[in-house]
Amino acid sequence: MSKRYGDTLAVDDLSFTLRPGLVTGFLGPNGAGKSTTMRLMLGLDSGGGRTTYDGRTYRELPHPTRTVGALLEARAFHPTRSARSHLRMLAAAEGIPARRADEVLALVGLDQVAKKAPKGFSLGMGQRLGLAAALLGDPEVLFLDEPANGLDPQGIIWLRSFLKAYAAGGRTVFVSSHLLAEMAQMADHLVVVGRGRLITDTSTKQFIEHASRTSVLVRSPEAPRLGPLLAQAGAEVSVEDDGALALTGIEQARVGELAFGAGIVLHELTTRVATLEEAFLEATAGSQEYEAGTGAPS
Amino acid sequence: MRGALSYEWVRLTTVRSTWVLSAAALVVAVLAALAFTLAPSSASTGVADALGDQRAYANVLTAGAQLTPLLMGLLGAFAFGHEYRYGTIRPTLTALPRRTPVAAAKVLTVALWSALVGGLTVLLAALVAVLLRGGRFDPAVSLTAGPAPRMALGVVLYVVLSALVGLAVGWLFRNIPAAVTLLLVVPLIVEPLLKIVLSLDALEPVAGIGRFLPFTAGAQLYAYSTVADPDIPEAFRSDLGPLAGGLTFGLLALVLLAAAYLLFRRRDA
Repeated sequence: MSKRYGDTLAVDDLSFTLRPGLVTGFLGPNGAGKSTTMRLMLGLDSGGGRTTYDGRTYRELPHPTRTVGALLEARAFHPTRSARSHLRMLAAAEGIPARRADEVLALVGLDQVAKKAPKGFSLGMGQRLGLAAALLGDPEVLFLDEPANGLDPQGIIWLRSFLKAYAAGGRTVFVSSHLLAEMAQMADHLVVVGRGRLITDTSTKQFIEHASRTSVLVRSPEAPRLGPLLAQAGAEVSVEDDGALALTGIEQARVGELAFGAGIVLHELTTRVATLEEAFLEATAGSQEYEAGTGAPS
Repeated sequence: MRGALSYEWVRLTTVRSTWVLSAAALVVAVLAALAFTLAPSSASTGVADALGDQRAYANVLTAGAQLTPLLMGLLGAFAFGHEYRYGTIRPTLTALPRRTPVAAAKVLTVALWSALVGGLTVLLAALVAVLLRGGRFDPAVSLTAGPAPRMALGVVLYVVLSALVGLAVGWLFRNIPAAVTLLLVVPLIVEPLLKIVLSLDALEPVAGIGRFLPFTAGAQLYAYSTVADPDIPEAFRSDLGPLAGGLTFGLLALVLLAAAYLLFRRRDA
């Protein structure tokens, strides 16, 4: 499965390929064009470029619901049409049997409220209903825009294992989220955008490892002597609040050798891998569309 | 197209407003038919007037024509209005990415449903008239004589065209309040006011366009008289016959639908 596309304003000459068998995370600051990108991929918005699914555009697909399932907004339903009727309506578009509506409701845990009007649904329940709708056609591809929004912790854990299993079955999962810790655990691959442009398209592991925030942390009672020694060896040294030294540009083993050679006692020597959050902030620095002021409220 | 029609059928029948609006149309038609049938004859003398009776009798058929067009106009406005109001247009167009079948299914379903409701109002009104027959009508008058069949068909056509105008307006504006306001204000306020303004002496040269005010013209479809009816207040009167009046109103529906469709094909969902 492959998709390519590009666009004019919110999305600027962006192109990438999604592969089956992987959960691909879609990251970017607010306003980076993530939701627009998803709408373009589904032909909902018109723009430049093309997205193809095994060579066909979305509109050319003979069975769109069976090929792609999408959750774009949490509360896209009529408030008084029951959850089950909502799903039956969507299923009718492709002749999917009505009992499939009950199956997906049970799958997302909404079977108890299948006949209720969804106007009383919480945000999390709305997300579950949207997810049920996306799963109706048992599609090859899932597009989920912020699916974890409003889910409780159990719901988030369930979603994570569900999506990982879905992808492991050879399907394609493309999911945007601003919950970076969650994304780090879920996504195998990342597409990162800022101001509508592609920042990086890489595996999650590489993305984090390449972030410069990955550093070696060393603690020693003789830090004042150790610091200059390491700096001489090419490390960039900064002193943490608690007196520990944070080093970049040097490997953990080399620090140990240098300290041993100089007879310096070490209390701790670890490599601190950057979090996805740090890697993300570094990668998207300067490309936020909306930036909060740093001034204190007056 | 089959998928779009099934989808639309489920959409229409699983929302409460469809049933409320349709039931209201039927109830109002029956009540109005009862009132028309039981009200004392306009001939206050009480002298049986065969021609007047025939007319009153035929008018019972159109009892539903007062409110049904507005109610079905709302039903039409909801066809796209609800989709944009509640954001279901995106799931809809994700399930049915080709837009022409989606549009055609909505137009067809709304037209058929409103024809059914309009037809039922006529049947129920006729039933009321037949059951109460003899109460006040001369036994000689007939429900199928004179313009009655054309009036019955005219009510149905007027209801269908009103529903399609409602659909087109909700589709164009993507906004239910705007569509509702238009459906209420244009036939009940704007057109009568324009008629009054056009009757000013100074506007005499252009007064003729008054007959083409679409809702007033469309109402000729179910008028008893095929010429300007002196019993209808001047502001609501048109001297177009049922055919020309119906075509005028139909043209409005067609133009609005075509404009909405062309925009729908190009605009983002």
